[in-house]
Amino acid sequence: MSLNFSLQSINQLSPYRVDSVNGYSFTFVTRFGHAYEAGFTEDYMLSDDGLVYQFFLSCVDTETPQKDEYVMSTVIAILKEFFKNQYVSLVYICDTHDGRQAVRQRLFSSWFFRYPDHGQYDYSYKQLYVESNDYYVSLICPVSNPLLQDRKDALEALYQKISEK
Amino acid sequence: MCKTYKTKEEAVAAFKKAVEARGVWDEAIRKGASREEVEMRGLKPAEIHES
Repeated sequence: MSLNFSLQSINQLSPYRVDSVNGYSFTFVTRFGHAYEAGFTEDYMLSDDGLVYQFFLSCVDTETPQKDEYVMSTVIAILKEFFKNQYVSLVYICDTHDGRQAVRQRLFSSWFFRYPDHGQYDYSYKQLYVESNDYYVSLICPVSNPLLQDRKDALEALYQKISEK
Repeated sequence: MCKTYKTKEEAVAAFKKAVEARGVWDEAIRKGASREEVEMRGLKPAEIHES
């Protein structure tokens, strides 16, 4: 499925100027000079219909960027634009490369619940233990999406199957 | 009917594929890869239009 994003709409809400030079990722630079890239790819873990996307967010110039509330606001502006596309859901798997995935999970969920319109979305997450690693998988889906229960059931089924002894 | 997996191995494989997508994504961003190069690595990124 082809998604539509309006950079103009994003930039009306975002504190940082959001651009895209390659047509598949969003870029922005913070007041501290840190560059971020964000984007979405189709994901088939929970569905084969092409309506579930995995979200990525990376600070590309440092492993330890300064805390910055404006990053949250910028990401929310991007996600808000993403959810203007009909029937889409979003999966976010916290990066595990440095063992700080639990910290990222707490930060991501706190961003969600601090978003004033979070009541329009359903948020759930699962902690999966796979090959000696803990993973945190978040699922965000608009409550108006008729596929919401299907997505939640699919995440639960995945969790149950992976957790089997 | 939601997507389900017959075996634990199938579920783990599907999950690992999703996890590996991050590595592909990060590498593509670092290298300044084009959309076509990203797709050749197996990802289907959303298209961003400037409308």
